[in-house]
Amino acid sequence: MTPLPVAAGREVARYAWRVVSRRPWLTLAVAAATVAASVAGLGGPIAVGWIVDGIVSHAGARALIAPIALLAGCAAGGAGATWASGALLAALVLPPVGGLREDVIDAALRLPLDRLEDAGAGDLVSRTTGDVEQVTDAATGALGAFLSAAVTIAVTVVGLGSLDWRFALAGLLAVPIQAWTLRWYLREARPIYAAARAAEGARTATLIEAFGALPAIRALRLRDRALGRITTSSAAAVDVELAATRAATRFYGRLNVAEFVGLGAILLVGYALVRGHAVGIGAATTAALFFAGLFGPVNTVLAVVDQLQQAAAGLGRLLGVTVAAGPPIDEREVAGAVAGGELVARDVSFRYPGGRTVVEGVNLRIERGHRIAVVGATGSGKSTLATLIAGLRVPEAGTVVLGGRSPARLARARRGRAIAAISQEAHVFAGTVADNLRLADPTATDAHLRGCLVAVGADAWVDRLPEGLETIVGAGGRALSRHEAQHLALARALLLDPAFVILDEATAEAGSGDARILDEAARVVMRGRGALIIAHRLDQAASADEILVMSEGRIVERGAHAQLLAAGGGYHRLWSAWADGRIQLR
Amino acid sequence: MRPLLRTAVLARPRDLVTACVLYGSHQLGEALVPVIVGVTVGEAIGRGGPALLAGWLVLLAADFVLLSLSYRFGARASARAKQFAAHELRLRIGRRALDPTGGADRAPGDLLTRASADADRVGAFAGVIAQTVASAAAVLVAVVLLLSASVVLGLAVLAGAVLLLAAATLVARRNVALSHAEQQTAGEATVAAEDLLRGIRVVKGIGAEEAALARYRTRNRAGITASRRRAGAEASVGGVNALLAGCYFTVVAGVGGALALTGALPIGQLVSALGLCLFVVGPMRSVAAFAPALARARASAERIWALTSAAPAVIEAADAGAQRAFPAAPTVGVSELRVASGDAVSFSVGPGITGVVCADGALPGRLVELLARQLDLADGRVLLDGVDVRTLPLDVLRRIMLVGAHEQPIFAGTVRENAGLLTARGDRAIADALRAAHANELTPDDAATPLGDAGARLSGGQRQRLGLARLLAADAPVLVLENPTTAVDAVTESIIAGRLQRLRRDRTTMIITTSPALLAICDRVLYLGAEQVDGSHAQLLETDAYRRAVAR
Repeated sequence: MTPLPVAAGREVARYAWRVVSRRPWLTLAVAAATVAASVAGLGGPIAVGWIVDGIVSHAGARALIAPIALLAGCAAGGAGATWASGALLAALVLPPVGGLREDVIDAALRLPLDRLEDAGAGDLVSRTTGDVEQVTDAATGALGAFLSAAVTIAVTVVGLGSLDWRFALAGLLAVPIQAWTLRWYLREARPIYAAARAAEGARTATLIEAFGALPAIRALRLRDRALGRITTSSAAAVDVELAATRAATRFYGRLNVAEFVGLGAILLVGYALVRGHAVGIGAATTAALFFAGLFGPVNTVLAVVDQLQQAAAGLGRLLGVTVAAGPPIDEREVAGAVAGGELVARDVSFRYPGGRTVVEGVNLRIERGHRIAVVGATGSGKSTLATLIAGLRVPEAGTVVLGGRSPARLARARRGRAIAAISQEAHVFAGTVADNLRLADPTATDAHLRGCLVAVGADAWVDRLPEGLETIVGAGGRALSRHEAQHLALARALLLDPAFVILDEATAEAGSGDARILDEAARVVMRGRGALIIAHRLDQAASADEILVMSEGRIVERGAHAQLLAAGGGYHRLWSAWADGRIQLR
Repeated sequence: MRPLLRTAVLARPRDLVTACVLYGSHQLGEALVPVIVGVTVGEAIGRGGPALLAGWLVLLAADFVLLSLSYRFGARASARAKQFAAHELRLRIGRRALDPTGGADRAPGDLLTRASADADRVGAFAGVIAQTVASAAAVLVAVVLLLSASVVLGLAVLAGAVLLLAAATLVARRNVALSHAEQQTAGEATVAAEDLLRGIRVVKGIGAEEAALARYRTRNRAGITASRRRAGAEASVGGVNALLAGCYFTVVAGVGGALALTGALPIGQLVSALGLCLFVVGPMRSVAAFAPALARARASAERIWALTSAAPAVIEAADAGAQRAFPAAPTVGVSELRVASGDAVSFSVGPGITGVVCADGALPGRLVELLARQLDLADGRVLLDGVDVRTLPLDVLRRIMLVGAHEQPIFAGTVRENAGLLTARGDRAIADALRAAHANELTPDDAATPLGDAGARLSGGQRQRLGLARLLAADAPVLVLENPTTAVDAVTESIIAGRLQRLRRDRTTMIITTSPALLAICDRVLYLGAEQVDGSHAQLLETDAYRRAVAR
């Protein structure tokens, strides 16, 4: 397993820079609004300082006019700036984040099958869900909070300095403690948080494992084991959560020390400056309130640093997917018409990265209306051969040619129309039955969809669904049985109307009665097309025009059914084993 | 439902009380910071000497120690209360879902949500309680302090803060429903992405990348629009809140300033009071958040309750004959079971291997459920060694008669762990069973290799063979298998059939199948169709209906 690449920090930074530099005026507006909101926040302490000075100098009621006006102005201005910074930041970052999500999905769809398998489906799914959510959440929440808190800190330090540079110096005494705390936190707490996420993931896996097999757990009396595993994993998650809480409280405890040191220093400096008549008591008040106002923003900045770093790492993983997929192909370049009526494989060989050769020197030719069956034991390379012929993989040696060109070089949509590959992995997409079918042809009418369902004999059960074609199926909807899912896949293949169809054990897993219906549906789909069928059940092979027997990646026998039986080789053995007791049927 | 919420929250009463007390003293410490700073500025910096300043600074230090330690241990106690409450609920849900009597089967995702998000939410409510109690105490202390400084100012702060909160809540509530719906739209985009990628091989197989991407794009655009709208709503809430807080502070500063100018309020107390008036908004906000948090916790508790109080699918006999001894190969009888055609079937399966071929496609599934007593039917009755299974303890029934339905789950762990789950007979028995199911290719190298979640690293055929090996290793007196070799190739299937025959020689075995390879090794085959026929596979092949059933 080789996970997909991760973009380096430099590339992530470049991406972020592209986002902000693409709309410079908007970026500037966000910056201006954020600074304005923070500056307005300083109005309160300043006004209080003025009031205090007014009282000390016995200035009378007039002394209240300026501070109250300042407060009112800051309230109005601050409110406007707060609103603007939030709204503008969303306008700046959300569209690119959305665009990135689409780019990542597009890139994932462009990844070659080998790469996808090598990385494992989990890697890609976790990137496009977990990482995408993390980046989106950070862009909508943490980023704004961080920016406004950071700007507030900077503006406040400037404010302290403008009262007297010594106030700023006193306040900055807290910084080393905070920096040290942050370093400690990132070093100590991050592994704990990672462990907490891992423990929660393990807990989820245990729960899903048990909840997904309830009837079997009852029948096999495995309750105690399942409960034991749930208890252990849940307790482990609790332990790590408590450890995370301990780390967080230590973090805030250290920040409390920093708060006290800074506040105490400012009060001491205030005392010295007031006694030395360098500043008035009002300024000392303002300084103390300035600093007290920093507690919240400092906590925010330090607390979301981690989240932002994680989001940056997530962004790296997302960009990594686009890196792995390479630049988008210009579909027009590969869009040419598919001419010719035969699909030819010459000396096709294939090997998985770092693995042994799974397909070696295979030759075959499929004409329209011609049906070839591939049989052989598990692991003989049949499925890999199917993906090679379908153009989903590029052979290591040899060529697959359809009407003069390699199917792997066809535009995606055109490739499906030319060669459709249906595997036993029949995923039902979340959406309506019609949505599932229209993947093959988004413009198909309902009548057309029905026609395909009728042709493969799936209309009866689809009509029995509560909303018929419009019934929501798949994740979050009505669960379809394996058989129904496979049936739907065959109807979809018919809707696609490809010139060639490749069925990889498309009906292997079903039970007896179901298998007959699916076999019939498969026959309908293959009618009038060139077909390559890979099957365990040999009656599918028996009626084929040509049978290829595969063993260890090679074709060891080929010919028609009767011919191969007469030859008395491997096919004869397979057939005898399969038809044990069935011979009399024929 | 109510008792569920109460018992859950009180899972760790001492931790909950500790959290309330310590959060309270933390809030008190926080409230005292502006008071001490104000007095220090007014008294020590304005008039006093170094000794007075030092005294106030020591007091400030003491206050920081108080608030910091209170928070540290309060938060830990609160975390314990929350985590253990959720943990207990999770186990309760697990116990109910896994109960041998059944009746709580729901979609795995549904159960997972209840056992994680809902349990966590109810647990988190313990923390909300501690926070609310402490905040209410803090508000009380702040108001008393303010009133003792100046009744007018105290009342102004109180009135202003209440108005501020009411207005802010009103503004927020208008946005909550909106943002909730929009959050869902954004979430749907994520779900769509995951769904699309799980089916990526299907998409690639038919070249539907463009169509799939277009579909995702629609969802994603809707999600982005929703996120932007939500961000806009949040920005306006932030703006309105800033405006309200600003007005509140302006009024309080004006009132306080006027009082101070007339000499009614010393400078120190003015600064303290203004600091307190800013502080008090936070705890008040926590108090106001209690009601919605309670509603959320209740909704979650209700969902958990609905599950844990679900009626069982089968009732276990109270006076079940647990002590009864069973022979090594008991007889199983099924009587009066209605099938699709409307007829009722009755049959009996004795020692040896019996093949059962069903004409009705739904019958195998029903038979398997009935034999494992997953449910009780009004019609069909099952007798084990002549005893109605409803009078047996479920554990005894399922130990004596092991029923392997078509789908056998593979659990995280190694091949050996999976194969040995039902037996204590040791490595030899496991190895024999693996061999019989032709799953020995998964050993010895792979025997200790973790299989990944739900056996993700195994192919369909490998999973099926491993599941079969597990059933065989149990060496149960009665073994019922439903279509055990559908994902296995023909050669392997006939090897398995032969080995299975040897391994189960002295036991009772019922194989529900249409596979000729398996039927050929059966001592006896029962055909359950419009007519019920009994005989050897070879004999039954003379019957047209049977031939059609087994010729796939």
